[in-house]
Amino acid sequence: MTSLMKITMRFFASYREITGLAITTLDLEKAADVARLKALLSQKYPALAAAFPHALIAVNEMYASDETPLKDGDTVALFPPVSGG
Amino acid sequence: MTDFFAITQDEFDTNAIVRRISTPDTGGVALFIGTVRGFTQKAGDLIETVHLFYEAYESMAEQKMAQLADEIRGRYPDVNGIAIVQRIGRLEVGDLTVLVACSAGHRNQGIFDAARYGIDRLKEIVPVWKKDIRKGEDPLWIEGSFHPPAE
Repeated sequence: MTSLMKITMRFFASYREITGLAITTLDLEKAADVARLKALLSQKYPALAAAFPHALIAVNEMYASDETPLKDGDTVALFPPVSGG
Repeated sequence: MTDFFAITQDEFDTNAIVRRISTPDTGGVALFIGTVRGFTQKAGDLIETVHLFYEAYESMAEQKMAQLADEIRGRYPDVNGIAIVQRIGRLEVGDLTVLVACSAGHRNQGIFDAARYGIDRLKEIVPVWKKDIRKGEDPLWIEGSFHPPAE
């Protein structure tokens, strides 16, 4: 399965509750980007797909966009716009 | 550098933080402190908060606090020390939730605006969320509106 890469996926706040997961791992084809990851996540967690237009994405703790490329071993976090304070 | 960044379950000690960000040439510290509000007017209704639950992406939040301090220094170069502290977990009405503090030699060296910038920006980029546990209503995750550009 050398054509696959392993991504650590983290969910926070309402997305953690929707998926029932704080952390999981996903196999993704090599050279996939964030948009491809989101497509896979919306199949696995249909209830999450509704949140995607507002979702923030961080790759290795840096804010990312749909076009951000992914590599084996990356940690991707998906969460709502932040509301600290 | 005398900065202090923390995500903590515990109450913070404001006096200790002020001492920590003060240097021998510090003559003033401006503090913003957020607290849990018990009543919020929303579209004509008065919503009562029973408590708030805070969650953070801790490792990223601490990095973003450091970035925020860099941004503050870029805008307010006379600031000496900067403290940014966010409490997480269950917090009751009246509890202190967040602190942004900036020190400088004198009060007219931008510390008030620096603290204001700090709390405004924290609410944009530091990955922390709060869930509002409300009387007679379903719990509600509060969402911000800012979408940080890709870095």
